[in-house]
Amino acid sequence: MRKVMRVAIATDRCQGHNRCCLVAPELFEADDEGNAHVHGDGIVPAGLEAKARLAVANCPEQAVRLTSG
Amino acid sequence: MIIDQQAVSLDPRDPDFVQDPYPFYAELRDHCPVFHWKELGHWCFAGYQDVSALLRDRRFGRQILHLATRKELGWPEAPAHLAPFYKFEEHSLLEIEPPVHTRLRGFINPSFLPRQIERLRPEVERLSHELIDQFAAQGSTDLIASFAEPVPVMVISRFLGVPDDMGPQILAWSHDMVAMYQACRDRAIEDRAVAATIAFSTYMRDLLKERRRHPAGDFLSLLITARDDDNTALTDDELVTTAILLLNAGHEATVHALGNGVQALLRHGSPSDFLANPATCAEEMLRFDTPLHMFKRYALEDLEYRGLALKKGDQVGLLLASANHDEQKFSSPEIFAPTRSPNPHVSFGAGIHFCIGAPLARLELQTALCVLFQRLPHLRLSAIPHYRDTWHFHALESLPVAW
Repeated sequence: MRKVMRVAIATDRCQGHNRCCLVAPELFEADDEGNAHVHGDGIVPAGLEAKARLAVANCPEQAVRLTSG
Repeated sequence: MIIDQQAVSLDPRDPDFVQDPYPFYAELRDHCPVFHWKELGHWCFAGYQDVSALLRDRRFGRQILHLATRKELGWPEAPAHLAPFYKFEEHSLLEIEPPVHTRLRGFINPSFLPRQIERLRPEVERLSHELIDQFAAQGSTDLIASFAEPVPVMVISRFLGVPDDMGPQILAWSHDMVAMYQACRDRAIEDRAVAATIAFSTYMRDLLKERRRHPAGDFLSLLITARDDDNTALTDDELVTTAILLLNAGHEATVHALGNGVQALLRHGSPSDFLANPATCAEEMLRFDTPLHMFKRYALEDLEYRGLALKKGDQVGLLLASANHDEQKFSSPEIFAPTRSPNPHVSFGAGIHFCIGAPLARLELQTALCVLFQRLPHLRLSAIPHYRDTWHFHALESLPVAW
């Protein structure tokens, strides 16, 4: 069975660069201040794993985290 | 160009290089992707992997004088005649590092969110039509002067709340100021930059005063009343620099992106290629003929990168346009491919200085060029255009087109 991949945002690190929202709008959204949040429970639907990794790689503050298991 | 192991001698004003730097970049990537550029006096990186990694590497930054004095770095004293320019840069988001960068960025970030920028689309469309109305009947035009310049200048001016008729003056001040970042600058360039900084700052100070008395629904009014987490407003100097930075950065590279992009499309494809895939084609324009060819960083500490020892305060030049043509990252990079995807170009930078205006630049490219090519589907080049002698601002002098 496929392992469940999740994304999460460390809100204390997020500075609102919005790179995650731009590279993976399916997984992240920004509030009015520009701070990013994950959609729903952060579970990454099948097929979006590469975008999730791209979001992690592109966050200038290393605020996007990936967990799986 | 002379390559001697890791030492490279290449005049950044060599006309062959200025007009077509890509073969030079290809040779550099092949022979010495990490090299010391004699004429610029610092190390440079030409490969995608290094450029991308170093843009994100927090051991590097845009500022060094917050960590060490000029004396400690072994630099000469700052020339007195440049004091007004450096005072302006002290508060520039582009030239500072956290925590000050984080605070200043927080003031403008909410206004540059993609969904805020998206609201400008109808205005960009309307403006594009108005400009084309002025030259459509002529059968030919210089697209830089009649379209590529006025679109971004007027969009960013209206966004901030600066009157339309200031457009030509803003272009002139901005050109004089950004000339400070050219590879080779002389005293005349410096004097013009300082004069423009003073004149632009005076104008902006007066406009901010006016907006304080009579707030309008524009970005300047918003910026005046904005407060950070500690309920502190921007100081007057911060307001002036931020407004000028947004006006300058809000059009310079976008003008070049529009001009270079249209040229690339007309040489290697056709307007219908753009209309079929505006979003991917706009990204390919940004990759294929990158508006800004180099971005620099300071080493913030003594460090080692891939065996290269750098001292605190050393500069590195990251060759964005070369990275965008790296065959190890892009298949057939010399081909203009309007549907290329993914297209992880570094034209907007990366890391904490990633272009905050990227959503606006993308909106302008996609929207203005859709209108242009719908209105003039038979647009063609009427002469081979030339690039300005400002190497790393890769910008066309003019773009003669006909239809």
